[in-house]
Amino acid sequence: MKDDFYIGYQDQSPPSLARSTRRLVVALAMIVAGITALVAARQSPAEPGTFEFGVKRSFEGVLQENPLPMLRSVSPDGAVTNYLLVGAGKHGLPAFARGHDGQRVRFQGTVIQKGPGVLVELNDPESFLVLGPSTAAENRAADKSIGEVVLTGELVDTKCYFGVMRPATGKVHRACAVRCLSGGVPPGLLVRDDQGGAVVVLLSGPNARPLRFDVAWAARRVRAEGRLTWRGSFPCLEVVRLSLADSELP
Amino acid sequence: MVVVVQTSLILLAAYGVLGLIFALAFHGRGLPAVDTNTRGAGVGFRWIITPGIVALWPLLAWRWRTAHGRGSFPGGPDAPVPARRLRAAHALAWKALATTAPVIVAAALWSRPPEAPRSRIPLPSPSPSSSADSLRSAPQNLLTNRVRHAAVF
Amino acid sequence: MSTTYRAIDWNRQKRVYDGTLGGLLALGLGLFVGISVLVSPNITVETLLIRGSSVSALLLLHVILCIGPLARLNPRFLPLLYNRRHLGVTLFLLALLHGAFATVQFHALGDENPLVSVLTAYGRDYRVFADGRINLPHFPFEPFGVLALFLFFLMAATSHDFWLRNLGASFWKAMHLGVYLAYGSVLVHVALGVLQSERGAIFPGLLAVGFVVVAGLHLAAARKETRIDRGKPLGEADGYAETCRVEDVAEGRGKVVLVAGQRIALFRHQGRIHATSNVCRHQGGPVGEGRIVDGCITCPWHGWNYQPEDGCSPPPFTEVLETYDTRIQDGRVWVRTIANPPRQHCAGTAVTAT
Repeated sequence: MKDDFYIGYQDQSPPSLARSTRRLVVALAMIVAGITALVAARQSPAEPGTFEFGVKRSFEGVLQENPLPMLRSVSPDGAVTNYLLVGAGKHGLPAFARGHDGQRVRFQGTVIQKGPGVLVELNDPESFLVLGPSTAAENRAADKSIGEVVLTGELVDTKCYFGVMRPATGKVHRACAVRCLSGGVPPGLLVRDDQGGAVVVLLSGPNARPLRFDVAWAARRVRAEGRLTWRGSFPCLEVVRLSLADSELP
Repeated sequence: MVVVVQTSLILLAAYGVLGLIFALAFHGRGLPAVDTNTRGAGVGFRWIITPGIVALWPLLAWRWRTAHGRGSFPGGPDAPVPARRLRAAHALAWKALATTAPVIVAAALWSRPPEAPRSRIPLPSPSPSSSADSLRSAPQNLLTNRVRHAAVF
Repeated sequence: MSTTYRAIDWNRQKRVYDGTLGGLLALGLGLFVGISVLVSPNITVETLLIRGSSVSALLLLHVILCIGPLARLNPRFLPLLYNRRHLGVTLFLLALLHGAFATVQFHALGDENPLVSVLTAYGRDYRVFADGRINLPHFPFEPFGVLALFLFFLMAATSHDFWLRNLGASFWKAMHLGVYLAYGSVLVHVALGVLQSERGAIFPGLLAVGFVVVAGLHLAAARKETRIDRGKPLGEADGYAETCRVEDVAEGRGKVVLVAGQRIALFRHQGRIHATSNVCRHQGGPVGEGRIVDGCITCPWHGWNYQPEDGCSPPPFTEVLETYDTRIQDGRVWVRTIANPPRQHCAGTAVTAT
């Protein structure tokens, strides 16, 4: 009976105990493998998105600071592309790019892209050049107004949602969304449709002002009322009323 | 709230700095005074106990003082393990945990808000440009083209 | 014990133990990363690190919590107990990795100090009641993770025997009871955090199974221990308490008996019955569940040695276990209810053939 007494500092474990410990380790390995595989397989998949971290591309167009910071780029064949602009880290349009509303600018930045929506992170102050006033052709609005709508969805920060973080929604990401929105990243309303699709509607305030809202509503369900306009590939809502969604209230 | 947390962090940092200074002194003169087994101990041992010294320096300072015969340190190397009290504490801890943890976790799960209502975003019609009309089915190559096009500038 | 401290007193068993731990961790993390990339190809490296470290830490915490009661219920699990502190330190490092990556990912490069942001990002939701109902779904989950990480740190930082000796076993053991608070805190962290985002029954189900296993084992062990402590007192006369039959104590082995409400370890060594305190001077291990090895009482937890005649650890060690006088009467062992003075030689009582 003495042989099955385990003393850790002895070189060899008693053979009978060594056998049972080996069996225990095999069982543990099976439990570890089973649980990690199950957890990994059942996590909700991250949505697609791209953040070309470390890659810089050149952009040129007309800078619009309000209500949402965008670059309107017109190609030689007349196609208009709108890029939503954000700053480095958890910040909105950086200071070096402010105060040039309506002017032609050129800069280098990093692409953040999900579906048809392209964001540019302005992270290179040296490359930022003001080229002068824009032309009338460049300013011709290509926006399509839809009308008044009421939408309910999750309040997200556009930078993370369009590709910097995958996933970029829900409670776990909530603090990050608060930081991003607090840092000036344009807010978006993540609206899901019945077919499993999802669209982020950019939110702005009335009268071409940025939206004033409580950043602690980030990652919570909110209800937004206002006028919907498509600006290129971005649906934008000029919000007249914003509240926590009914389904979250008693 | 922010001010409270900021202040606490500053106090914590100050505590840590004092702990580091204490750790230097303790490594120099305190270790052999409080515990003879540390005589001749190697660098590895000193590294491995340093985080604890920084975290618990007031206790060690107390212990160090009593090593010089001033006051007494509760417990200490010669105090026996209060096995029975510990068993009672274990049992109590598990009775408390077994009753409270499931309630909090279950309440957190049951109070999850229901799924968000679904709504459809009205699309512009007729479509003004290449992409807005087919938001979800936009082919990826179109997007790559766009970026490439942007890069031309 | 009483020799010069080393960072880690490596021996073969510890190397095997740590190797097994490393292998199991690699298996779990490898599977997690591999399957995550397959089912969620768009997942970022940061997310993988945050999730991988948390899943492995949570799993390891459950294993750690099971070892104690399993070893109480069945000595076959004692090899897992021997080097458990390495599991604790590994757990802390995994939790630190998780916390550090999450803090950098979710709080850094913003308009607030990341460490402040961890506790204040949506600070207004620190209200148990909001909008007329319990505010659990929006209550910050981060502070519970911070609390658990802090407790894991305290326990990992003080895991060396230097701390056990210098803080005193009583304080040290009480501090390490903090693992239960940490576990509760982790459960709330998970329930208010990821379980609010991930729907479906799998994750709550796994958490519930883990909790039932851990809590069930602890309650079963507590029940067993309580039953021992509540054992019916037998006769008492002349300052001696009646305990078990002589033949219940086999040669070279120990037996735990109850004397005046205290657990006492009986050993039979070379035909003589010895009685000592049942509480090992190291971590309070149950000496009486040990054996006589090379003439010394050997604790089943970490193998600490004491001489049965005087309770002293063999030189160069200096620990002393209390000893008790014994006598044998009508085939039963009687133990004196008052301990002998420390280090006093006590020959034990010879067992005569009956």
